[in-house]
Amino acid sequence: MVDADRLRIVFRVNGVTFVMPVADLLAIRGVGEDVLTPQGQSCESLQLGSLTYRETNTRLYDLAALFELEDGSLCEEGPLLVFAGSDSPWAVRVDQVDGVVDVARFEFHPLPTYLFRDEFVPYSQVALYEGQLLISADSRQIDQAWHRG
Amino acid sequence: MMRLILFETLAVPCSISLDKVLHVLTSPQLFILPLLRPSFVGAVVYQGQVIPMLAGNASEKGEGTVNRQPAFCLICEAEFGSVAIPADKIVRITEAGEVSSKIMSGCDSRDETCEIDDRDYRLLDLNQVLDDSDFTVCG
Repeated sequence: MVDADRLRIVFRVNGVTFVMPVADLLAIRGVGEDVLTPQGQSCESLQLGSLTYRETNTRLYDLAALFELEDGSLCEEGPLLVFAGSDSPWAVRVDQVDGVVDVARFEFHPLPTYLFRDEFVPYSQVALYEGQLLISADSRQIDQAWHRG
Repeated sequence: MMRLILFETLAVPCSISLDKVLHVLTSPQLFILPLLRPSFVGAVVYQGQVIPMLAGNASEKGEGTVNRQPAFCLICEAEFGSVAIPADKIVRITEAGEVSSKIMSGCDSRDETCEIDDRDYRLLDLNQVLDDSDFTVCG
């Protein structure tokens, strides 16, 4: 039996690869998903719109903006990942999902705090995977960042 | 006797005490990491460890040069841990006694330089990295 706690999802946003626990992931929504764009100015600058997930209004956030990934090449038709949040689910659009991988294939390296710009940076470690360095985050860290705006 | 490794980063002549250099990597793969202090641009992987890489200069972030892959990087030892210094060219290593200890003794300023071969080489003091949030290799 597959243990979700041992699995990580690998995905890319603006050329940067992220890894997050599958246990935090609620759904992967495909291309063509209807996203409701907020009317007028969003109350939260990182929010791009919203979608309905299991009859729940789910906010769609801009992960590239949160991490200040300025490449600007995010695919507007990429898949949507829905994650569990503290109060309600939240979603991000990604360029592509590389796959779901057993945690044993990653080498996790905590980063020293002096590297970070401030204490609110929503990741604290990286993961080595197939010669690449991935940003390792969890749903809780990123959910807190959305609420800070 | 103090010996220096002389190198260039972004066309700026720089130097660091050879005692601090653990390894020189050729064609290192720089992984950009987001939301770092201005002093850092990302990290390299060295012997299975993730080593933070210093920014070449203050404009390396946000001006399209963050993906620049340096020709070399110097894996160096600092009080706070290992750090990678990007270098475009390794010039040479000074001979023992070529650089006087008198010159080096004053090396506690970010703008300290040392004249070698009629060029002014910036002397890097890695201990300033944590004290000066704007510290970069080129100053």
